[in-house]
Amino acid sequence: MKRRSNLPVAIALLAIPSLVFAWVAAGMIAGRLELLAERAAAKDAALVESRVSAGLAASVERAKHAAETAVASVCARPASEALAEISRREPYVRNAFRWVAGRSVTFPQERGATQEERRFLARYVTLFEEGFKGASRDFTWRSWFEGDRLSFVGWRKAADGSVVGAELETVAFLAEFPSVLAEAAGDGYILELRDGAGGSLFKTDATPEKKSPDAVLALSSVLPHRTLALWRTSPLDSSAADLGRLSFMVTAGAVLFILFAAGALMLVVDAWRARRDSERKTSFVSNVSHELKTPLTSIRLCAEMLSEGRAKDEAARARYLDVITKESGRLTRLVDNVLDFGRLEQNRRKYDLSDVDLCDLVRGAAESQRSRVEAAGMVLSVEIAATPVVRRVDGDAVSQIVVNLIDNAVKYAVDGKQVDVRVAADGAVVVADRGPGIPKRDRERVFERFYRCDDSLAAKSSGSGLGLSIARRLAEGMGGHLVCMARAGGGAEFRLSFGGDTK
Amino acid sequence: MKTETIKAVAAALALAAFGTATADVSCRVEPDYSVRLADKAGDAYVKVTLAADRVVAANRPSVNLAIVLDRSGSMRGDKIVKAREAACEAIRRLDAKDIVSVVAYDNKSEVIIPAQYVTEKEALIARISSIEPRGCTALFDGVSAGATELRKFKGKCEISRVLLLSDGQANVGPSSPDELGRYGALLMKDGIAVSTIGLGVDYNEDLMTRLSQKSDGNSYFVENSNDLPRVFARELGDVLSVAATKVALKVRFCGGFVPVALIGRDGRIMDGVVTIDLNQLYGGQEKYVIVKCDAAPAPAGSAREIAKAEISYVDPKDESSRTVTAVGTVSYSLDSAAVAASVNKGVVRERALNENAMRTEEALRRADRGDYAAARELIMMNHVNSMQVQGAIGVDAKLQADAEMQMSNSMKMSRDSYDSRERKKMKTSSFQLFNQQKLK
Repeated sequence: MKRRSNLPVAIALLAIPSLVFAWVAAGMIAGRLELLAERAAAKDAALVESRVSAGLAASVERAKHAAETAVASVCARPASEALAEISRREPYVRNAFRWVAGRSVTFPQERGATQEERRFLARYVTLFEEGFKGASRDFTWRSWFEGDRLSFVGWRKAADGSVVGAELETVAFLAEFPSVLAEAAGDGYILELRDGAGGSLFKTDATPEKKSPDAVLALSSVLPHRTLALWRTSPLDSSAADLGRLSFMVTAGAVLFILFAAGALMLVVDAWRARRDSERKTSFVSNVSHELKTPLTSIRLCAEMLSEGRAKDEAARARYLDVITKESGRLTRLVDNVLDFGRLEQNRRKYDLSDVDLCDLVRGAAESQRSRVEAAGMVLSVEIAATPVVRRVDGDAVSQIVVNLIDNAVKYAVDGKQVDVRVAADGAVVVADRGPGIPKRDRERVFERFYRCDDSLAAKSSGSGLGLSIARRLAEGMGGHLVCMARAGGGAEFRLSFGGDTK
Repeated sequence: MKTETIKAVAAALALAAFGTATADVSCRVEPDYSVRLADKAGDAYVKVTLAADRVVAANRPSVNLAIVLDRSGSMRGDKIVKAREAACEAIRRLDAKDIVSVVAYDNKSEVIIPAQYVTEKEALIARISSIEPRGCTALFDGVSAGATELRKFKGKCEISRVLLLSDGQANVGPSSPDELGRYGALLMKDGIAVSTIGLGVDYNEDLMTRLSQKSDGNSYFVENSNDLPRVFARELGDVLSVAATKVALKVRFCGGFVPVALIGRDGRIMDGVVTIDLNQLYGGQEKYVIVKCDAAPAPAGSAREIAKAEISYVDPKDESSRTVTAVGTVSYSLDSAAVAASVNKGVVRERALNENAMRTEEALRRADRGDYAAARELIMMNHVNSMQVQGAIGVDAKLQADAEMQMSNSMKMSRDSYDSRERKKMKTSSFQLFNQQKLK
């Protein structure tokens, strides 16, 4: 008989808790990392923002300072030539101008102006119309939008009371922005400076097409209506990443440990079970051999006596023939059990289910054993109600179970002198004895094949260790249950039930 | 008497010094007609010309060159090969006194060769071969990285130049012709000129020419990448022959002549003074401005000064600031035949060509909007103008060639034939005329 390997089942059973553990752990770690990442992102975004803002502000401030210096240098005598010279020479100044109360702009003048100057006059027409109330010796700066184009214009009062000012060349600091952004971005970010409509002014690298930015920061303190989009190229800062790696390794390690430990345990259990099985098989073979040999020896002896004519009288001859009949019956039961077991092991046993009156069935089976029980010096009492209890069962299987249970009682509870068979009101078939009983720890194991409670009792009696195992398999094969319990007042009680199915 | 002698000697010395200066850069002020009809007000066109002698190779100033190469994905294949070849060729032409840097740009700029003296040419050339195409076109970033490299050696070289190659539209960073033009103007304030080479038919010629124009660099349209090495060589020839830098022209008009407009060039007219800034003048090159004036009537037989031109510039050979001046005069007569005979063909011709180029720009704007009929009409006016001017001044080879070109261009002003290639040719050619780019 080939023992079925339950290794794959065991691995599956072990893998499930391992995976559940891993999943839970991974979930916890992911949550933790997300939190860390969010914190890191917030921290980093703030850091990047401050770096960019500082860099851009420095650029703008540099430009403003250059413009202020240049304008201040002509304030003493703001001649047109001098103003023209500012926009001609100062890279940060796009246009310089002079405005006189009552005369509006005196430089640049529309007539004879360069293209750039003409556009400048058109761009700031509202500013010039508005006038420069409150202009003082200190510079006033204002950001100015022409469509979405941002520019800065600043002015102050000159010595002669006129207003002189300058428009910054935004391209000058735009040209400085790439290096500011590149420096702020470092290796960890892609930065994109955007205008008010979300259009790209600059980016430090190709921005991910499908991914929206990790953060969009307003730069309103430095550049009104400009935003900074930020993508993180390395997903986490190093400490979070380290923690992530560590957590992953710990989880993976724990899972691997569980799997290895379980595997090792299974190997040990398997080895132990294999040894036990082989021991049991050995004892089964020797039991069965003994069981076979004992009746055979008796049969042979009796047969020899009869054939040699040693039995002088009729009574002796009858005794010999009786022995041969009984021992043949014993042999038949034994061989039947072994064959049954083989069929059950290979799941070849077919069950022929039909509606049967359990009372009739059990009574018949019990009565068939009465002579054996009484021959062993025991009393068989059969208590069965008069009303039929109909169940959908395989009649032969039920009979065999009852026979096996009685056989078990005869073998192991002979000292109790009593075997009770009854059919309970709920349809359960009960076979009980007054023997030594079965210790609690063995009550399930008695149904294992080859198992025999290893005590003096088992040692005294012979047996294959298959009877109860066969009984249980038959019960389960029909959809019923066979359990063993302690009997009130001492002894063992086997209960065969069919789940209350009353068809 | 003694002091008189000293004064005379000093004057002679001053003149001598002045004389050596004028040997390199000279200036002329020429009216379209040197004899004007007396007692009649009218328009006068005055051409102020700056010219530089050829520069002797051994005596050339040192050059700080930033080569800015487009390495966007569209440069794949032969284009990048030829561009690398051209850049290598440019480096071979430089000497140890020159500085070179190479910037390649795609999504962003990358400095391939930081600004350094050209001492180990082969090592520099080897680094250029690592430039492979990829990504987008961050043109602005590329140019500003090139300018940053140039500034590292500010003051060490007499001439600073960005040589920009692009075959595509600027699609990262500031990308309007206006912004690039302003950036060009800004670089010019720093003494940096940007020469642009547009390769193929997909680049943005408005942007490239504006960048060149505002920084006083050259602009080229190269249709076939095989021509790149030749164009680089020509550009480098220009760069190596710069005869004057930080050129500022100031033309002070005399009473009776009021400047009202500049033909072809942008500049400022303020209180009767025309001021124009140029970045540099190449050896053997002439640059000019044509000023339209309101001329007051004057009696017959009288003569007047029209304007006094003053060119201040820096001589790159020794970093000295110099000035040359010139005066233009006109006389008045009642004899209209004498007036007609006094025509300065060169002035009239250049005025006509510049006016044509301005009309061509307007025609391109109309054609861009799909108004081909108006565009064709403007181009035909150019043709007519060139023919009519020849009727006034006699047959002129340049005007004849222009008339023919205008005729052929007018044919192209239709939905079917107006394409990127034709537009680039026209745009580049009008740019080259406005800027008096040297064409060999």
